[in-house]
Amino acid sequence: MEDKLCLGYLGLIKPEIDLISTILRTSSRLNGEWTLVDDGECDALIAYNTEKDLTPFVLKNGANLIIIKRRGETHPGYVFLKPFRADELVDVLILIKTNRSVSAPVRGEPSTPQKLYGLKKWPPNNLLSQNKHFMLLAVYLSRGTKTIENLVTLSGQSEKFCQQFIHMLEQHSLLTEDIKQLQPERKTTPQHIESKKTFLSLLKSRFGIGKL
Amino acid sequence: MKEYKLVFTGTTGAGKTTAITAISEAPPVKTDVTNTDETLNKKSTTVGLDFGQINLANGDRLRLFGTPGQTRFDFMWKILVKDAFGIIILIDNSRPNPLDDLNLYIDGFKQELLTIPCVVGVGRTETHAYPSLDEYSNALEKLNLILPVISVDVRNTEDVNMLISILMAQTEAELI
Repeated sequence: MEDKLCLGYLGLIKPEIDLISTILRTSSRLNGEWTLVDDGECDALIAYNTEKDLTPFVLKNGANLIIIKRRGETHPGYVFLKPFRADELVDVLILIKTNRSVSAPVRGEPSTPQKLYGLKKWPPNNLLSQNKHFMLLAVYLSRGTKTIENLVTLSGQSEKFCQQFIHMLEQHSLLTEDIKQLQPERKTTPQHIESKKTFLSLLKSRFGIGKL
Repeated sequence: MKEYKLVFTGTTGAGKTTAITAISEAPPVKTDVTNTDETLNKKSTTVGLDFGQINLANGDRLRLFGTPGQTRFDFMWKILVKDAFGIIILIDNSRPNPLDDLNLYIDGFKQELLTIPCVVGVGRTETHAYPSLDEYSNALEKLNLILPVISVDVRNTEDVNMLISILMAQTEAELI
């Protein structure tokens, strides 16, 4: 079972801490993947300021700061706006987790052939309507070939669910398939990609949109 | 402060102005005049472009542009769509040849569709079921395009939000 991601906090009052703890515990979208910690290593830290001294926390490699701001204030990075909305924090944490999956380095593993899947055309409505998450997977595939791992990362759905969707497409002759050698490489995220991710996160917050 | 662009395009009467009005924060700037085309069942029509705006939490802005529907204004399409975050093509399924209408906009944005996310929203399907959404997919397949095609009523804010959600998902897919 994958270790939980740790969210630290600095400078928050008890009601705010309790609120965040409740969100992490009860959000179906976060699925219990995050836990609030009082000290030690953390994958993200929520604070009012970008403080230099983060004691008693130690940021893990690639960890992110989430800064608390009032609505209307600006900040070039992840924010949690007051008055708080639970879905906005959930959006930010999902984005942080997704970004970590994309930028995590792969060290010293042999190249692994993976299957790349694509669409031949936009699937018929009677197939997409079988499950509310199918349209999202189809949207991802509409922008180019993807591996199962890509679909899992993008959608937050299980590997089994994504395999089920791919199988359905295959049964209806809607699937293209290719095998590509993927070389392990250390990825870093260019600045413009980070900028786009922040834009998407803010847009989701503004529209109150989660996944499709 | 950064500015992003979202372009709504489609035939006259497809609902571009309505869609922008549904989500714009500021009252949208419209360029409507009295409609003198008797074949169109609407009182006014857009002769310039519609403009709306959404402010994001960090001060960035999403500008909403509605292209004029009449083809005599097609020179504006390429100007408007440059560096856009996404394109929403709205089609009125009650028109005589909706698939021809779709072809017009696909052709007009042919180059841009290679890189800019796009979704097709088909309106009035509850009263005009044909062409079906699958026929739209088939038409796009013949043009070697795979674009999401959904049924929408742009008077409904949730439907407009769905179109934007699809554009966001397409953008996310390109970042991985």
